[in-house]
Amino acid sequence: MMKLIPDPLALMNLLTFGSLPTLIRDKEIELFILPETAMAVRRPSEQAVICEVQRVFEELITQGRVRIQAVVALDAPDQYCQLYPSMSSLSACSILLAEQYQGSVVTDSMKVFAKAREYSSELSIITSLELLKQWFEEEHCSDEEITASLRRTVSFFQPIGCHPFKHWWLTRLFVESER
Amino acid sequence: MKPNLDSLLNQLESEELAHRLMTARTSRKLLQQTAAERLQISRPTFINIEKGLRRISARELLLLADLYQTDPYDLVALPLEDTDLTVQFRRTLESQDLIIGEEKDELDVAIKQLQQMAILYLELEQLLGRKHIFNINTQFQLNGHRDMKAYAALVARQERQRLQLGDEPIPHLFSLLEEEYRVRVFRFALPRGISGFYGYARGLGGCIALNENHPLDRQLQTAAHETGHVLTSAQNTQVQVLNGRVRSSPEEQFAGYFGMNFTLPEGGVRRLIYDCVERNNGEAPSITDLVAMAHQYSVSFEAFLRRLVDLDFLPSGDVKRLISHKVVKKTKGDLGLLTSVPTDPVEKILARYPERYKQYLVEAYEKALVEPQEIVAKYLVGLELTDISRVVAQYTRIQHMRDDGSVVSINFEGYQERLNWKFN
Repeated sequence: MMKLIPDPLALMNLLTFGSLPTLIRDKEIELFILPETAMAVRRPSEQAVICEVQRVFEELITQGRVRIQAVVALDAPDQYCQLYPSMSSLSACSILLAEQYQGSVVTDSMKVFAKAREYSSELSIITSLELLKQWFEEEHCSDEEITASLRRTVSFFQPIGCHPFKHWWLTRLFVESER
Repeated sequence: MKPNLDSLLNQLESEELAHRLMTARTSRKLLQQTAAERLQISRPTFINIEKGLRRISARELLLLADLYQTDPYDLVALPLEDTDLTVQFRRTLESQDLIIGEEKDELDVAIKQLQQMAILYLELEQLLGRKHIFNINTQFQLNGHRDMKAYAALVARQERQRLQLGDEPIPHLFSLLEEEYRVRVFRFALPRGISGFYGYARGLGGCIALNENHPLDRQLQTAAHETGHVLTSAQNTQVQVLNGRVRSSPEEQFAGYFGMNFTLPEGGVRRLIYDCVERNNGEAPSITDLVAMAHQYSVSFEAFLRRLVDLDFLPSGDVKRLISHKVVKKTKGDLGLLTSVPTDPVEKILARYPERYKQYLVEAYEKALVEPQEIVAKYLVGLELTDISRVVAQYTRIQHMRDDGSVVSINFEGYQERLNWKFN
């Protein structure tokens, strides 16, 4: 079973992947998220893509595939103090949650990525783009499907320059328009 | 990178920490007993903590911060004398003899907000290794000048000359303040009667807060007024209240006249009027003409009329009559000059921060020095996580490497437009 602890943007990025509900069922993926993350995803929006993300999110919660789990920083004060304030409280708690469930933190913030590595070399941490790429390959998605999927998120997700999958993202994003 | 709570706890003097803990508790109106129970210690032991006789652990700090509903980092951040604007403001408020009454508490909050925003600006500079040099070339002395009006006009002329502005309108006064004088200009909601204020702290340099709820032309006028203060007393603080509510000190007189001369240079205004009269075949300018002229110089209609009075083009009694003229608003509307406040929530948030601040923030984000959560919670408060891409796109261009190895620079927003066009 794969346990994932995504931050809000990573979660929204993953939720736009059309086959996510099937994938979660087949691969026995479990998503653990903080209440703050859920709140960020549920923020009212007029963007159609975000409304769709929210719909999928609520469905997965109903199916029990996404578990909202609070982390009390006071339960692990030493670890929390090592993480905060060099990163946001939400990111620090995501890492604590990942440690608690022995899952993987999913984030596209390269700052959190670097700080988490400094904090523990044993912590599993992955970017949402890496996961998506993996899933696209496993699902044998065509180039067009990948491009279409990435373009759905373009209004709210853009990896920064030093993101390890930035080049892949850009190449996939532009594949159709350059032909 | 900020040090962790443990090391901050160790660095902070016991007395200072004790004082902060007590202030945080009393501001929440909590009893010592309540706090002691939360820490599961006796009240006398807790009293020792508040006396600085017993140090607390990081866990106890987190418990207390949770109880006091405050950020634990705020309780242990090292003393920042160099970035404290509040002490100087307190002294100024007393000496400026301002009639602000009930708005005093709101003003206190606003001063703290300006300080917080300026500290975040400083943090970004430190993250990126940029030096901020508060750049006031000359401090003009007010002592010995009896005719403050003539002196302010002279200084305004000199500054315009130095900045190579000629007699032209200043299109971006906020940017000018930021780029030329390196003053940090923020715009946010201030108490209704306060137009803006200027503050100085050694570590921050000069900082200006402008009331975002006032029309843009008034904000520009306030910024010009505060520039006058910067040039005469860069290391003092000043609060500007709405007209007629302040004692007219020499500093205020200077700032007032300076603001008028700086935004509306005599030569430029005279030329506008003469050109207009010529165009009208010798007839005096109409209200429509005056509204357009005021807009050209980005000042309010009233400020423009007062300048005309000052230059003897208009009797002072006419100002009130002309301002109240219904035709002014209609003319502004007809000319499309009604001051527009950004309605887009993202633009409204962005307008609060200096351009350089936003550039630094995006640069820090791109360099993985800042994470998205920090942007929305600290640096651009109120922004949604999903809007970050849009903000980054405004301040960057994507570098895209093609398969043949060539690099192209792509404007992200432009790209989106192209996509929409293709899909439609």
